[in-house]
Parts: sequence; C-alpha cells; structure tokens
Amino acid sequence: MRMGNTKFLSRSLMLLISVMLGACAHSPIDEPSDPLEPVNRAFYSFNEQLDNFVARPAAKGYVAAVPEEVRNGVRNFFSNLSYPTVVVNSALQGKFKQSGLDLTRFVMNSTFGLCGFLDPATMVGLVRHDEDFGQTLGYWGVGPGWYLMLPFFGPSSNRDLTGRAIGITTDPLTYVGDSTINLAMTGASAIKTRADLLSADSVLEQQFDRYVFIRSAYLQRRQSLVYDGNPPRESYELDDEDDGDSAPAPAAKEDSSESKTSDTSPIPRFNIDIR
Amino acid sequence: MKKLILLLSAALMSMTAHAAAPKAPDQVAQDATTQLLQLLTANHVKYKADSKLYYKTVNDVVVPLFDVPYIGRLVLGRNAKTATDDQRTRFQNAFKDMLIRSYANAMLDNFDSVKVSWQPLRMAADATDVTVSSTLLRTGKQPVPVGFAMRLNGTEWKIYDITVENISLVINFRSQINEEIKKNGLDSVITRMESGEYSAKPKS
Repeated sequence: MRMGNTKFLSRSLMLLISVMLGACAHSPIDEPSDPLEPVNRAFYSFNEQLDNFVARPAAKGYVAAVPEEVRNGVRNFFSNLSYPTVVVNSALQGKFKQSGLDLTRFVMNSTFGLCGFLDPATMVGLVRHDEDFGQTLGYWGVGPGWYLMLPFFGPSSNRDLTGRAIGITTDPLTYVGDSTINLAMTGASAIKTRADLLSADSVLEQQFDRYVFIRSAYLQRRQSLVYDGNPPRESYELDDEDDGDSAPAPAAKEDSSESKTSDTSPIPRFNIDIR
Repeated sequence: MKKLILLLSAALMSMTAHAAAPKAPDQVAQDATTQLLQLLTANHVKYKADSKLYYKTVNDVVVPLFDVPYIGRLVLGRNAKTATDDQRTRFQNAFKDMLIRSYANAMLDNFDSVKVSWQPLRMAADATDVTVSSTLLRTGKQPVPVGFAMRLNGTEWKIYDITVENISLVINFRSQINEEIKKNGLDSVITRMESGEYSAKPKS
C-alpha cells in the first residue's frame, strides 16, 4: 500500500514537471522553439558586449599570465567542485554503477588530488562524466522546451534553467557562507570557462548569424549530453519531401532499435553504459 | 578438367564481385585523412605561401569524397524545393568553396598537433547510410569526437555531414541559412557567400 502510494506520488510529480516544461511540443532540430527570440537576441547582444569588454580580455590575460600546468589544475579544481552534481544525477538516471564510480572519483580527487587540483582518478581509469539536473530531466523524457538566452549565463532552455535552479542544491559553493569567497570563486570559474572557449572564437566569427549558430549548437550539444554522446540520428530530409532522387532517409539503419526512441517519450531509456 | 574450369570461374567471379563491392566507408574516410595529412606534412610551407595551390589540392583530394549536391540540398532544406536549378548549383558551389576556405585554413594551422583515432565501424551488410566515428586527439586538450555521416551513392560511399561533439554541420548551416533566406532571399545569400563574406581569414 505504502509502496503504491510513493509510486503514484512520484509518477504524478513527474507528470506535473513534464506538463510544466511543455515537454510534449517537439520542434524540429533546425527550427527550435524560440518564442522569446527578440528578448533573447537583446540579451545575446548584451552578453556579446560583456564578452568583448570584460570576459574575453580577462580570459586572454589569464591564459597569458598563468602557466598551462596551473590552468589545468584550476580546470580540474572546478570540475571536481561540480562533481557532487554528477554523482547525484548519475544515480537519478538509474546509472548506479556510474554513480558509485563518480563518488569514488570525487573522493579520490578531493583527497589525493589535493582538493581537486590534480586528477589521479583519471590515471586509475575513473573517467570523468558530464551529468546535471537538466540532463536528468531530459533522460526522463522532458524536452528542452523554449530556447532561452540568459544575461551573464548564456544559452539555456526551459528544461536546463529548471535544472540549473535545482543544481544550486548540489553546488558546494551554495554552502560557503562567505559571500566574498563565493563571488571570487564564481568569477574565477567564469574566466576559466571563457579561457577554454577562446579557440572557438574564430569559428564564431565566420557564421552567418552568431545567435542562430549558438542556439543550434547549444541545443544539439545538450541533446547529445542527455544521450551520453549517442543521440538518436535526426532525419535531415524534410517530411514533405517526396522527389524521386532523394536518398533513403538517413535514419541510421544499423541501429534501428535506438533510432526509434523518441526524446519526448516519458518512458525511461536504459542505456547500457559502454564507457 | 571440368572441375578446374568450374573452380577457376568461381574464383574469377568472386574476384569481380570483390572488385564491384564499394570500398568500405570507414576506409574511405581514413584513406582520405591519411592522404591529406601526408600532403600537408610534405607541402605545408608551399601551401601557406600559395593559397590558390592549396585550395586546388583540397578541391582535388578532399571534395570528391563529399556528396556536394546532396549536401547543398540538405543545407537548403525546405528552400531547396522553391530554388531553381541554377540557384541550387550556385548555392552548392558557393557553400563548398566557403567550407574549403574555412576548414582548409584550420587544417593548415593545426594539422601537426592533431592525431585522429578511428573507432571500429559496425554496419549491416545492406546499409546505405552509416556514421564513421573518430576522435581528434590534441596534445594537452580534451579529445573531440568527430563523426562522418556517409551514404552509398551508386557504388561509392560519400560524406554528407560532419559532426563535432555531435553538433551537425548541416543542421548548423541549415538553421542559419534558413534565417538569412527569410530575411534577404536566396540570391542575396548566394552572392554574399560567393564574395567570401563568410570565410575565415587565414591567420597571419
């Protein structure tokens, strides 16, 4: 009886969340749902200005002033700091073995790895995973919903913004009482992230429409992360296309069982983790 | 004697059958990459000095591996239907040249710091569409997964899309070009592409 109740509760909660996030609307990947585009574009211009005058110069200065070994250490440190989120979300996606390994990785790097600056876990074969609450929602069938461009934070979606809000609970920085430390850490993390993206600047420069490029890249990247790097192949052909010379729709034949999984289905997918 | 003839003809038949079978898609992608890396290693100084020669080499060596008309249609998406034959052809070529200019320069700048490792390909015998997966390894940086979507075109496997971290080149350009066409019309987009407005400038 009790069991049944919990099941019912968790089911209705899941239903509520998916209704909230408008998971049912599935937009084609090349025309994502972006009803707030005018607002998003305004925020994007703001972010670009901020990047031109603050973030990029800071990142460039950081790369110029700090030797590579130290930068690697900083990257490891922040990666490790986000790892409680990974441990929790691996478990929430039913990947219990991965979650256990992630916990081991976190403990190992936090101790032997000197608070995460070194990465001994990778050396013993505990690979780094990328999980967060947005991906967990996606794993359980929640679609991205609207595309959002947030001021300061950059691209997001209804789903990922919800994930970000929940993620505050597993972020160690939340539990640091000192707001100065908090602010400094957030700033340092932002500069590190921007520095890692410096090499992508030249790619950005040669796009027709940078806003659309980032939107497309972000949504595809998130979809890929939800599926742990193996997203179902989208058919590139348009549905209404029926001219004779068109090739068989590139829905991958070699794994037809996989490609049928719809990302809007609320039925969980139990992927076999091959990594 | 009869047996011998039978055996011989059987052997011959299997040989011709073998010759008719297309080169495996992963082999096509690997051979092309190897050939390009060899050319770059041998001639990169010359290529840096003479970009015309370099683009021509890329055009001769790399472009035949791509299904350019199909890519053009995929990128145009729904706009391919309303485009005239002339527009389609011009678009195809402009798009191809744009990619050559952008990616060829990136390759010229980075070829010596990049290694490619190929994942074994699993495909059904009658597959006409596969993805060949590889990983770009760069010293001191995170490895980048790169996929080549290939389709059987007649007797040859040709590439029609490249994905980097599962971000598709075709989808990226389709969504951007759709938007541009909506705003300015197809002709204007083609003209701007032909003029080289969207190509990366070589690093000086």
